[in-house]
Amino acid sequence: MYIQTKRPLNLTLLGVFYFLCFTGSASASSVHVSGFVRDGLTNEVLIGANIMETNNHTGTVTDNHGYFSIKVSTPCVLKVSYIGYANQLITVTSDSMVIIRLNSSVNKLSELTVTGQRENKSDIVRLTAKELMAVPTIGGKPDIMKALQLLPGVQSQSEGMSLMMVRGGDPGQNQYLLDNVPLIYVNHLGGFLSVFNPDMINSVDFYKGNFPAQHGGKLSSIVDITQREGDISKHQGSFSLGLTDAAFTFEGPLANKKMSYIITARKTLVDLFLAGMSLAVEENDYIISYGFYDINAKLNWKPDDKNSFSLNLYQGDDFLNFWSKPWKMNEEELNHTTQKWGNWLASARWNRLFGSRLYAENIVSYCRYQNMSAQQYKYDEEGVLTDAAFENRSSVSDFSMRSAWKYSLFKNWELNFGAQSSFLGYEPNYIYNSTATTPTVRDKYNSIEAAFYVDNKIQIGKGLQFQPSFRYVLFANDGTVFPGIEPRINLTWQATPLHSFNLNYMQVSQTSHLVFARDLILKKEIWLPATRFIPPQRSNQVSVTWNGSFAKGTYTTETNLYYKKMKHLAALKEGYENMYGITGIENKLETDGTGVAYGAEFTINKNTGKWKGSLSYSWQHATRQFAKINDGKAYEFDYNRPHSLILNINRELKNAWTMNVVWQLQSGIPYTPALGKQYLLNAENGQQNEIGFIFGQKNSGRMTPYHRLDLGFNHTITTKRGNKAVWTYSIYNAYAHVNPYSYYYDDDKLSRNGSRLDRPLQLYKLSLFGFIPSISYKVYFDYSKKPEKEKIKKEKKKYNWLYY
Amino acid sequence: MNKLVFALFSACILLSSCHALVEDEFPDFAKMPVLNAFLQADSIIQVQVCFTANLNDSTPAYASNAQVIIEGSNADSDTLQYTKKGWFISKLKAQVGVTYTCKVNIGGYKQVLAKTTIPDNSIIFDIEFTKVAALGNQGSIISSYEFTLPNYKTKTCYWHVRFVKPGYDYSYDSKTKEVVEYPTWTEKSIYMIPGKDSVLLTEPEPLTIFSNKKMDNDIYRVKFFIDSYSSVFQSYSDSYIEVRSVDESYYKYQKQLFLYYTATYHELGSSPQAYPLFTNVTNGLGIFTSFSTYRKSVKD
Repeated sequence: MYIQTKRPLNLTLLGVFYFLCFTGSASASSVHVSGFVRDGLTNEVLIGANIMETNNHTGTVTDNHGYFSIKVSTPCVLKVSYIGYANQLITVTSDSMVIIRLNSSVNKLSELTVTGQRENKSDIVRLTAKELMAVPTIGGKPDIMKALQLLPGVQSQSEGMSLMMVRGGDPGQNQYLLDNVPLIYVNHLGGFLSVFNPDMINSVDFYKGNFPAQHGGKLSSIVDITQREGDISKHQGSFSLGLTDAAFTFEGPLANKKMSYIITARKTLVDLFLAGMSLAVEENDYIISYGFYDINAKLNWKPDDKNSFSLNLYQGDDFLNFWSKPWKMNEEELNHTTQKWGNWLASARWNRLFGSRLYAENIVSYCRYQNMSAQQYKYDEEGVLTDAAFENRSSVSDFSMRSAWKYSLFKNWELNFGAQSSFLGYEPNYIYNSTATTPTVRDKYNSIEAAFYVDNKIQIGKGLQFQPSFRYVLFANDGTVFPGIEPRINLTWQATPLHSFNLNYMQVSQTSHLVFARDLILKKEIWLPATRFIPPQRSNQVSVTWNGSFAKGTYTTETNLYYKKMKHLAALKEGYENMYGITGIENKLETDGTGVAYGAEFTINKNTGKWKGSLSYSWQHATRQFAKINDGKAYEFDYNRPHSLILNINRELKNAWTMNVVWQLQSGIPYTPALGKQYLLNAENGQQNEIGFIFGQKNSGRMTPYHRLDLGFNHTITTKRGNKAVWTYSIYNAYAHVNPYSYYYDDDKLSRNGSRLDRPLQLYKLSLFGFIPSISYKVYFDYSKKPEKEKIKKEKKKYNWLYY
Repeated sequence: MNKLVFALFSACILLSSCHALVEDEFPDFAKMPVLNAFLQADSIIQVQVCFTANLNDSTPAYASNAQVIIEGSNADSDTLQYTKKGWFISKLKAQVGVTYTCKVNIGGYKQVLAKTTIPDNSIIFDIEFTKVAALGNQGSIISSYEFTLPNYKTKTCYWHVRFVKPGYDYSYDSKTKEVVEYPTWTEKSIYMIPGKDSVLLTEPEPLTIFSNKKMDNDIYRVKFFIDSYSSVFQSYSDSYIEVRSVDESYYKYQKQLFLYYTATYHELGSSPQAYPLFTNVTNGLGIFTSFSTYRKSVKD
């Protein structure tokens, strides 16, 4: 009986397999073409370039290595296109590997493209460096995170901050990948700027859902940043100066154009200003300095068309220093407090094209995040010099190996598979106090996370793409092992050449938890590994997408509906502000929280014409539920803004001016309102103390709506030396709207002009940023021009008499 | 120091920040009775009864016409007499080990009910003083006291540790138009550091309130820190360590009150939060709780 039932099942499976493998691929003269699409001049990879078979209008796009693989029926002509570049036609007759170099189009209008190039996928947005440059920011300098925050479904933690929340998720649920290597900390200036130097960026792929099986480890989003490789045609660079920082970039070829390099660096100037100011004020006993720097370097080597190697280095830190002025202290006395936080990352990558069907990427990387605060002082007490030191540190180190493979199994079946292994070291709270009688607190967690994945892309017929995939994760820490399989399914139906529908489901787990804890000076991010007390976070998300194109591609739309459920969330217990005494971290955390988020997102883009831009609207509902918060009842997520409308307009003006306008209108965030008042008793003496508030349910009130207009203008000029330069003028909050950062009740009876005010209790809002204008300047320089100039100078000198 | 750093660091941001009135009407909140009392062992029982108020009201009203009844588990019972400002006073003294139920009847409202059990004293011993236990910011001296506290493993106990000295306070009597001096205990701010101490790890800082939920032994060594001398505490020689054995509701109320104040303290970078006050009163709000006190002079 058992055997009888099994046989038809096997036959059915075989039938499905045959159908999936060979449907639409019956032609006997099919060939594989794979390769890379690059800029014809700089050799930089072109991400998202279209490769289309002209016979039947099917095709593919390049990935973030500029790689593509396609099986076509011969004879065939492939059309390769990329915005801003001239199209190229390639005739294919046999299996081949090609390097396609596109030349920049004469039509420079394309530089102002607002909307990202899109693969026919849902929940994914690709932003190019040019698009990032267009977004106005507080300091006048472009920033990835600020650009991402303009996308529907993405919200910032608070005004001006880089931390973002995607589809009702927490700030610690976003994966930031720098050339496929996770970076742990992403903020400078306490969140006003991200650590990603825009000069280094080629493109950004942003996933709000529909994660490829290759990616995992964070519940809410993947920010996959591909860095530039450096110009292989000439040595060039740039220097920029803005309110937030000064930055430079150098890039060029090496080793007879087999290699290229790019180095970028940024540093604040405000630290020197602050130190100078605090030095200059004689009454002030202290010298204060705050700033950041980051350095990014990449070296690429392409020994041949099949192999490429790269080395990537990143280091970035923020620092806050505080010294007592030595001349105001006794001899030999010292007082220095410091806080320093940031990442450093090193990675080595080898990419190889094994044939027209197989492509591989192998990465070895090391990344370390550290937030350290320390105090050192020498203090003279009754002739005895006391020397003391205090240090508090939180760190995470990640040594990883990754191997990712792409294989074209059949014409309509592409296979992505790979594995990774990470050795993670968590030290959430190291405390050392040289004068303390209690021992140094040092809890270390050494954990291992291993994963392997298989991702299938199966084309069924002309219009249907089925993408069943899974990721298997094994996490071991503190003697506990957490195995987990994460199934992901994606179904895309290309109903017409202009309209497609997508349905996807994904499950993701996250083996770390992020809490924000107070330190000596500033709050810091502390990462905690999953333990038997704090299991890994897990989420399930379903989303449906409709992509549409109208008026010959002038307008494109994307509509998403999603539902996400998260479990095993963790947060600091109410009332805990720091993680001092971390032993037994479960004692300080509320665990096993759940979160639910669902919503709808709509975007319409105008892609051509003088006026370009996008209009997006999103609606979202997000809640949290913890057993010991809000009496165990579900409450609205702290930063949930149900409605969000964002208008982004780009326009090229005369005389090399461009304009970017961003207007956003959002619901206010929730707050817990006071309903009434009551007398409180003082426990110390049992007497009536003061009047206290009676609060309603947690987050049951809502602040006033948030709206803001930002303007950005770029003016490209040519300097006297013939170099290109760009002036950027931006205005943040152009009409100075008082947007609420937080609410508070006050009946302060302050004296104004000598008269005492009798103000009733009122609700007030605190707003952070009013009207902020800023300016920045960026100049590009080209080494290859120098010899020419010098040559002309010499010629001029030689034939000086001609000019008389 | 931190305040100075914070102030300078935030200066640039705050230059453009501003405060504005929110044009919003306060909700109409239905009036409820509020019952408040901290019963102290061997002291006269006093209870305050008042009403909640709307946010627009200047002050909450006192329930002078309420009927307040105290019933003890030892069969003692008393109807309290109204004095002033919502206070009702009993003839009874609170006794250790007795559970007191307070019943408040006010016309038009359901009977308000609350109960508390007076905890037993905890006698401390082996006090040890360390003058320089640690150094604070800029090298200021931090002293510490340690003492031993007995633990009753069979029941859940709660304590509140204070550092006090006897003194006087003053109040103005509007009837006699005279300043009245009365004895009181002046408190010096102290704090505990959890370190690796699992007992304190379950408590939010900087409270010196803790339970025996994580105590494994019959005794527990308590250590608290004092930052530096003040004008009132020019020396510690005439001071006392006060250990209050408190009811569970006292413990919960004080912890929640700390969160309440923390949330209302406004600071850049903190998210807008609010915490409700703890109440153990049925059909009303407020706190009806108790404690017993043991003081030991540090001179001893």
